[in-house]
Amino acid sequence: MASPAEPYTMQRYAAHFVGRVFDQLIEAVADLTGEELHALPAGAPNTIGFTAWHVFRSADNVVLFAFERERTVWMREGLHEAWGLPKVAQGTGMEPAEAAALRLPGAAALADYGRAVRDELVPRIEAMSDDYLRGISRVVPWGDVPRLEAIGQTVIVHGSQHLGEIAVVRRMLGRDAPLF
Amino acid sequence: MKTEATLSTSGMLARATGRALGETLAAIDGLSAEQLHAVVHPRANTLGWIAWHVFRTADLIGGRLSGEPELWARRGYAAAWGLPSESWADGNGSGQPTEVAQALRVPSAEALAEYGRELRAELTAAVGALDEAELARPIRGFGDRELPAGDAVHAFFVLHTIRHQGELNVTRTLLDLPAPGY
Repeated sequence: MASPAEPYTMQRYAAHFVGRVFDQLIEAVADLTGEELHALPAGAPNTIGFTAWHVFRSADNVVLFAFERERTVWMREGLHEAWGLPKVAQGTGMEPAEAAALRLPGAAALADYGRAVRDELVPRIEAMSDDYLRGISRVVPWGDVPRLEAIGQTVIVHGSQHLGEIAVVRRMLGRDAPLF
Repeated sequence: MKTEATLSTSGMLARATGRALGETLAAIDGLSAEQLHAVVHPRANTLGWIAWHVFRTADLIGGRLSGEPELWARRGYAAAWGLPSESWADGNGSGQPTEVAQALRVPSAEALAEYGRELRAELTAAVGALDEAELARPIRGFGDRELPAGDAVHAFFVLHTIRHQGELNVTRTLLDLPAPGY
């Protein structure tokens, strides 16, 4: 959080809110049992596990691969092999049955992946120059967009919308919902 | 966000505020009273309460940003809508027991949208006019917490609204109403 004495830069703004969205998503999955992580109450859009995985993977793909063509945390840590999940796909457009069937090793492992992505992204964003943030990267499915817009949409807004979904599913499971 | 000019912090926050609150308005557009107040799950909030809470939260922070009375108070909505108790007149619904929140009745989707539309117009104009010093100026959030005005705008006009948009989307789906995909 920027203090009043510090300039209110886009880097500080973006890094702060990326970190905050990740913190809340991590907290929203970390206390779940494996059964809760994969539960799909009647009417729920997706399991909490799928939703959080999808958000973490999307952010990992955009900031590392789409921006820099670097290997994602997901691939670097070999999680696609360890968890038996797609190497590249991150859940967008996945058939509901396939999304519902996705199995993760547990809430602790998923939260650890979220922390690893957060710890990779936040310092990178803090160090991005204005010119870099104005620069264009190709991000599927939006096409060529300024990097700041990609961070805002893919990480902050996308993560926040899915956090709202997770809040509803947590309530349906009898759990407290995260405070917004 | 295609030009250097559009990277101004206040301009970006104003656009984000307008877009986020616009999504809330779209989520309640044309709803019947039954849909607005439907309880889809014993622990779920109604579409009407969620939208009201989103607008009230932004309005409360908007008042702290401008130093002016909130739109809710200026228009006398609490009395007009038969919500005179303190928690409805002054609060934003945070921390209300589920059964209290589920009992909220607003006159209609259009009445709620009228409040939201005017609020959205006021807030986007106010945010767009903030300069860098004003964005860094501390204002009171909730509780005793102070935070820079820019962070308050993003946290309570944008992110808070978007998070509840996820809740609105799920609730609309449970009511067999279309919800946007993302």
